[in-house]
Amino acid sequence: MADGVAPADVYKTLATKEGVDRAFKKLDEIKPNIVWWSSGNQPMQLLGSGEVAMTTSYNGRIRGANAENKRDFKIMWAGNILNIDSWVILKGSPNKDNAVKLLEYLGRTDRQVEWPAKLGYGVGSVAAQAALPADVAATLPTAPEHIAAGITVDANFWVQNIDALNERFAAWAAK
Amino acid sequence: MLDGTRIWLWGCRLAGALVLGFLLLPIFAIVPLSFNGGSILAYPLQGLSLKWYAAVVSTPRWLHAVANSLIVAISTVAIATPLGTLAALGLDRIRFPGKSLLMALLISPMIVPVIITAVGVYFFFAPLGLANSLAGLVLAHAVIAVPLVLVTVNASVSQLDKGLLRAAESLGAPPMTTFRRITIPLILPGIVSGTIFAFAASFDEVVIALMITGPGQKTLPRELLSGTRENLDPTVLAVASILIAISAGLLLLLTAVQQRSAKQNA
Amino acid sequence: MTTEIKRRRRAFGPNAVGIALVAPLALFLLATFFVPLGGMLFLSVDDRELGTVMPGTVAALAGWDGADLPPAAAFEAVGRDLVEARKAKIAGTAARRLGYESSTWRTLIQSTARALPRDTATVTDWKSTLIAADGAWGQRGIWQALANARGPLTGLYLRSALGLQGGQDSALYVNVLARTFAIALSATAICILLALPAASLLASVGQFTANLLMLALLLPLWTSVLVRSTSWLVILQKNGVFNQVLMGLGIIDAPLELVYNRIGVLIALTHILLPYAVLPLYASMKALPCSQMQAARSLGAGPLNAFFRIYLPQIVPGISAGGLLVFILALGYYVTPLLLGGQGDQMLPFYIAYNTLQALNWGLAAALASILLIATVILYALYVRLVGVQRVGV
Repeated sequence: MADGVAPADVYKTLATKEGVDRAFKKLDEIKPNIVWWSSGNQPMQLLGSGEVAMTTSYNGRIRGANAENKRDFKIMWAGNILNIDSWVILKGSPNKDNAVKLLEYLGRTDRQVEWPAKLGYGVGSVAAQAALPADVAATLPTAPEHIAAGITVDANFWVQNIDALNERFAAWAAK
Repeated sequence: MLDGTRIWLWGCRLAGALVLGFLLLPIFAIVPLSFNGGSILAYPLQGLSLKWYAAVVSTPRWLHAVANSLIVAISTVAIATPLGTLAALGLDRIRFPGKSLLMALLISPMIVPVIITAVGVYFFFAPLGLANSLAGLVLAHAVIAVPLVLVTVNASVSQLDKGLLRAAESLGAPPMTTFRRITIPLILPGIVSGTIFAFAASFDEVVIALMITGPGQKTLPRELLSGTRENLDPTVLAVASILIAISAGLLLLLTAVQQRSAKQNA
Repeated sequence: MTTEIKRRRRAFGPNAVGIALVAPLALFLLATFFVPLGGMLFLSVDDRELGTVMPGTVAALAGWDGADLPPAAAFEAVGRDLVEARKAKIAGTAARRLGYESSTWRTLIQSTARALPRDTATVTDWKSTLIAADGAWGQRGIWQALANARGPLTGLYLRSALGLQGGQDSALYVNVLARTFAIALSATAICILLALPAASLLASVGQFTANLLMLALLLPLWTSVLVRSTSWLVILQKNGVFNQVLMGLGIIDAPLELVYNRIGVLIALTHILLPYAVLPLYASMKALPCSQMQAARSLGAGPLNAFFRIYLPQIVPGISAGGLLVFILALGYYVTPLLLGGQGDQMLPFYIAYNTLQALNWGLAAALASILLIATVILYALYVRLVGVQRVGV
């Protein structure tokens, strides 16, 4: 996206070899100015200590840092990446019935509207997003204007390409 | 001419003193910051406060980690000290050409990089269900701790006055009595020193802990590592300072043990 | 005759008791250290994965000479194996293993496994079915890769780790090996340079002062590597103590970048390893009478001349012992580069951990660890030769 690819075309571009080359060429450009992080709260640490001027991060961490550590970090939504997490019931789980009940409970609109104020992350149902107070709704990744400004992770693309891209990325990053 | 020598000599001394200062710098730089009244990690301090230490002792995460670390270190010592002591006594009696090779093998966990021990143990323990367990961590820590006991006890066994043992024997003492009444008291400082080494090795170890423990078995160094990477605040420095204090305490204890034994020998 | 037996028994007796005393430790280390390390060495050449997922294919390719396309039986074996593997949801394992040969094959295996009909009874001609699924099956490349991966042993991981395999991974690990040695060597050189004045200071003062100064060596040595690395991060980071002091004194205007790069790694590594260099140097300097230097000076040698001609040659054993020890230890640090280095400063241990826990390429992790292990063992043997086994525990 930094190289001018429209959000809707990101995965189409990355599916071609030229697209991947283009992505790495862009990475080459910014490489000298990058500090890498590998676990969720590191970006807050790097930003807070002044080590970096801007960072990628999970939006909930930013809310957490602002609320708990009295930071004043701002989010730039252009080019954001939306990922939807899943709940899984493992095959053969001893408490399958209760797990299904839990999922049903978590899926209720009146439960979902409770989360954003506590976690800062978006909600899983369209009804819940609509039911949120406007000031909270506007801070979430699931706000319609934020979804429009970025891309949603394409799980199928990653299932097919993750190993090859990871390998190339690791080789590139370590150079 | 004379001045040249002096400048050279004092230049050397000054450089040496600077190097020793460099060695102490990180230790003395962070301890005061853990008493900072404010949350910024810089000098001058914004007043003195114990609040970060209070935060440590009131956080279950840290307390849980301390408990895990103590359990692991004590269990490690319980395995490493007897094994290392027996082996040191045994090595003293053995006379054959391969002895130094045997010694080198027994202390090799000290030289092999910890990451290799960690990975080897991880590959080996994972199928046995010992990864993600405190038991697995204890076994792996015992591996790296045992050479320290062996080397330390071995040093005091080799200084043992064999004449005393022969004297006891010739006066008719049974071997076990000689061992209990003569050998053990004389090598006790070595055993205690080895135990201190072993305890410290386990208590400070993070690489193996990172590899083979799950979220349920986080030790103090492991929590400290996450703290340093993810939320480097004065609480983390308070934990680091506590670890420094423990290390310094163990060092003092060790010095005291060795001085007492030196006095006794004299 | 009887005296001979007695003599033998006396010689044997202590040995038997001694061996019995050493045995528990030897068995313990065998079970928890030597066998796991042996297992790790084996893992670096072990290649039985494909055989568990595609047993028919492995058997069918056993007699293939590689000159032309394999016989029809091999096509059928691949087809049936892939259908079975997909049913058992283990086709990914085969795809991953073949992906190590070339990432193209990973996609090929996965897409073919998906494209094949679930009911094998409907297939009459496996060769055309496979080629219809993907034209690559009509060329030798994938068959060569399957033959390479059929096990039971492979040199793939070791070749990748040593950079002999070609491809991206290899380029990466040549780089990592070179970097690991370069960082260890620089840290060793800095340590020796700094250890010289420190050890000479220790050797030139009285015993009491020396003992006191020795605490400056022992306290850091006793403080954990992690705590010291954390401490350096606090000191060196952008808003850290060091930059604050320099800016406060007006020496610099903007903070220096001292962490997440090579400088940070070298400073912290030097600090961690320095005591190991000072201690042997101090021992060898203390054994030298200072009258020698004075004699040389009084005979008219300049200070530098006296140092290089008289002093240095006599402390070379101390320097080489300390240097070798520092170098061996420097190869193996994980936490320090992790906290203070950038992605381009990570050493071999980082990639061992990365392949073990994140990329899940255990074969490669084992190969990298084996290389580090072998390098360490060789250097350790050299060290034992140099200073004797008794001196290892500093």
